[in-house]
Amino acid sequence: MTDTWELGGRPVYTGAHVTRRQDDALLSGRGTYVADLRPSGMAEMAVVRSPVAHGRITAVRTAEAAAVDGVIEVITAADLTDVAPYPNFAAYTQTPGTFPLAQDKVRYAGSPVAVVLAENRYIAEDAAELVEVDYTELPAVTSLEAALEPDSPRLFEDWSNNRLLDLQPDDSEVAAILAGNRVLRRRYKMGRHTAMPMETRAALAEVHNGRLHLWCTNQHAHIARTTLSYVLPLAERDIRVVIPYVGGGFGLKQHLYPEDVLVSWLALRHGRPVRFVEDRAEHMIAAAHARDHMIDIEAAIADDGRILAMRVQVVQDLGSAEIFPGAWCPALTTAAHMTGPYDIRDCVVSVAAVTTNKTPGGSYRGFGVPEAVFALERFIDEIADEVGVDRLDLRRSMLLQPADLPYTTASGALLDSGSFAESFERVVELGEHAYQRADAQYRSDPDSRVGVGYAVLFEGVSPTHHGASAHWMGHESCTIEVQPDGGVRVASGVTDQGQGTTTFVATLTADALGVPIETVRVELADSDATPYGLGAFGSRQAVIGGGAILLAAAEVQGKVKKIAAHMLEAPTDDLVIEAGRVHVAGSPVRAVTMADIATTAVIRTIDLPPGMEPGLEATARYEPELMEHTPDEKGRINANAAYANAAHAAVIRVDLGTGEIEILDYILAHDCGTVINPPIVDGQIWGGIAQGLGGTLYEDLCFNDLGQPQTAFMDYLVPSAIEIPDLVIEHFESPSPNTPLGMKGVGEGGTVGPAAAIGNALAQALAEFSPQIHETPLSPAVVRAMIPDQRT
Amino acid sequence: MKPPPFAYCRPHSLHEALELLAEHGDEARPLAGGQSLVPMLNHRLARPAVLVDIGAIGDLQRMDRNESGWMIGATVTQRRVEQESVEGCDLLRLAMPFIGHRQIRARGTVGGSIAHADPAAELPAVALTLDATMVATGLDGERAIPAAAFFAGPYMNSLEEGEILSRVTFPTVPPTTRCSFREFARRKGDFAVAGVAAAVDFEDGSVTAASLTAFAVGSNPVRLTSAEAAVAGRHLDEAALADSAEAAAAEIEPWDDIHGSPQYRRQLVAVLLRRALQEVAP
Repeated sequence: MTDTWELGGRPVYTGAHVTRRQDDALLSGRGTYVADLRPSGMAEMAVVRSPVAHGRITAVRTAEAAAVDGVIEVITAADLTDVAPYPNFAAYTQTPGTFPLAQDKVRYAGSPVAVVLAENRYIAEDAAELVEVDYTELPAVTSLEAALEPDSPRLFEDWSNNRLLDLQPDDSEVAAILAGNRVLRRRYKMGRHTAMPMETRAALAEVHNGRLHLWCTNQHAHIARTTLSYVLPLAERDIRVVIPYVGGGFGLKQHLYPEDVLVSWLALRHGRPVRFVEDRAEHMIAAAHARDHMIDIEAAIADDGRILAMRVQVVQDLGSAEIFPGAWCPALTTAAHMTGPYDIRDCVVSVAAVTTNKTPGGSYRGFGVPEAVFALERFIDEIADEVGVDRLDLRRSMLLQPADLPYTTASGALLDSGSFAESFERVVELGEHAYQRADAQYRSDPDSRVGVGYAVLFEGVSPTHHGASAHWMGHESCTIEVQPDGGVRVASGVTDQGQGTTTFVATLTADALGVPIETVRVELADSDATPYGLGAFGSRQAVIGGGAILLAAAEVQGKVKKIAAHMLEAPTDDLVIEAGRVHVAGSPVRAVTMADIATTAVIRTIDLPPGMEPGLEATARYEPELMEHTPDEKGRINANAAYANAAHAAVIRVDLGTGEIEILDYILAHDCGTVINPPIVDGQIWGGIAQGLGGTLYEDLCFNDLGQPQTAFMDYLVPSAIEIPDLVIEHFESPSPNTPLGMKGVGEGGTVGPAAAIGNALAQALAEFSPQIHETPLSPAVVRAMIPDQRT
Repeated sequence: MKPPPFAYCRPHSLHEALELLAEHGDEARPLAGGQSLVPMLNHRLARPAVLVDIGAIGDLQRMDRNESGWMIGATVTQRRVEQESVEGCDLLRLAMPFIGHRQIRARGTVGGSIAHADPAAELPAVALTLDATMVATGLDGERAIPAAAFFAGPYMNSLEEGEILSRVTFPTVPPTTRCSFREFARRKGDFAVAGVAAAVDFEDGSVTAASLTAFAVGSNPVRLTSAEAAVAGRHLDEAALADSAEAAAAEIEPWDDIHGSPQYRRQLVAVLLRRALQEVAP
């Protein structure tokens, strides 16, 4: 590893407004997605899904469906004799034994029970209607509270309860502090919502020369390949995973879903290409759901409101938990963020993740952090009200100041840098100004109330994968090859779901080598063409993928300099690399081009310095030194390579008649360390805020008491451009001393703050009615119920 | 989300369409703009064996005005109505922007929306408020159905088998009539959680005629007769607004869904009606 990270060349592109590489294709509809692939002989698959939330399968009759003209085969779990259940590497959890098709029981409405393979999707759907399944219905567990009950019906009969995960750390130290002080208790809940990428899930499997080729929407080419080799009777060398253009992942596409396995199995069995393209109705019930947390906080409070110690219980509703990798990790992440960027030394968090008869929970942008921030930031406002202190001063009295850094939180997170207090003060300044303006505008309107709310937060970025999989860790990889014409091929394990990964890989490679960006070709997301990497999750790719690029580039550049020094007969220290040329300092005409050097390295190897190996290529792997994968004996872990921070302010108007919240101003100060591409960073913030506001105000995945999903796509209110306010974004840059170039991840920050900021703004706006604001979503009906009826 | 197999025909005359409907009976469904029927086909909620596309029938695309009102052919698009001034028919003009999004209005038709009778749709509420007349055409000829008799429950109308809704007549109102259309939807373009349409005529500041309708709160749009009575003959002062809003909330029987309880919908209708009346008050 390296002590100081630097670019090998002058930063020509890093920090500049480099145009995103894929925009032409994406904006003109020329991107090739899985659904655009149609190899000859392709068959399509439709999944027969359980309409029952919890039941025992007593019979499956497929003959009538199999007899439909154009149907190739109908399969059930019984046919998958050579398929293994998904593995579970987490010894600290119970194992759901997830299998691609339901075996004896169904545990959520939408469970895959059978598959119809047909000449096309129309026929497959016609025949799927004819598959008859008999169920003996069982009582459904439909809420996290119900799942916690000791006599709750069990989803997995070999478990003694519905707790997949149950971590109860020793809380005696905190209990002692609670016992001697004023204690405040609150319960917060965040509802169930999820990513709604424009492209649904899709997979196409084909057999080429005895090898399985899987084109899919998964966020990790290599993790997908390895997982397939665990589940299918195939050697890893016989699997190639390629991820073409993807229309948004957001964590939802982190999981290797049953359909990915099923298309592969069917393609191998029938020797013809098999495709599955999820439709939106399936997406609502069969792609991972997220959030659905309950957080109980008990805190010892000083006279001035400061939190002296906290005891927290986090419970996450996993749905049926039949998903790989497992989905309990958001609850662990919530636990790690419960103190926020405040100096709260004593905090103990117990974590439970429970199974219910709902769609499996999974990853979603924010990954446990929005839940923690909503609970803690609402709690601080409630303490301020309770104690009678100013909510901003209360935050100031606890916020980490520059002199406190580096600071290790109670959970073990190493905050090595950040602008916690500074970004907060800036947002307060802008927020108070915007609030005054709103107040002046609406003061005389009897139907309106305005309020401003704040949230200040840190967010772990670039985490270990171990929390989710208990298997993979945290490295990323990169191969850089300079070809004889001087052009560069860079291949990395990172992947692009539309967020601009390809562009930052090109940017860092160009600057690290000192070559024009146009000469850099980026190859990603093909397990045959790229070295083993972990792909997209946890806002990690720029930080960790960037580290691998810098390491590989440094190695290539070292060789470039040696060859150039030999060719120019000058010492390597005197050489300057710029725009694809190497020249002697002070003498720009004494130069060789990258093409000269690479031709020497690869073709005219006789001209190499004596003893030098041919070739101009390097592969490097980077695993952040300070990232920890398993907790210590007290449960503390520094699970991330870096920590970004932000402060949010929302100024809202509440319509007292309808309960509708209108966002008048949304202000955010964001700090992701060194910025590589400012428009991409802004884009990430905009998109994150949109999804954060979606979960706060609009999106809600509801189930009734029978476990029947109640939210069709028509009722799942993803905010459109009309609903998203103009944002004021202020940038702070506190480079991390421990990451490549000081970068921190930016992919999720926007998602994390809106629930807390809006909740606090609503509390202020409706203060005269003493509203209880402890849950999201804050739909108009929910808000209207906080307002006395005579107000209309 | 693929439809089951169906046959498709696209006749060029109304007579031909009616013959096809007669031939196939309840196996056939007319297809206009497809903004509701096509999703229902894809979700397999509707399974007609034959789709009779009435989009190529010139007679159904006419939009004329005579002394009593606007006669709008069944397949005139909502977007076209929006772009015309529909003079004398303010309520229709006001309601148009609330129907879905512009792309939906470019395909969606006036007749399609009314025949579909979605409880949350705007055009049925406008038709009921203005006492519009639906013209049903069958092989035996035409019959006029008043709006109040046309809607027969959620997604149900009173057309007989073999009949097509061929046009709708929206009466024009006198210049002294003031209109308001109010709807509360979760996002711009969504179906209403609750809505109110009002057409009120005044003389010397007093209400001489009030036509008030609530929609998205029950099986079909409903005339708020108690609320109408509450404002009859009165100036629209605070007390009249309050009486009318209270009467409206009491006389509706709202349903329950994930966007709002009956109680919330009563609150919404009260506040929307109050605001509509404030808007039309001279």
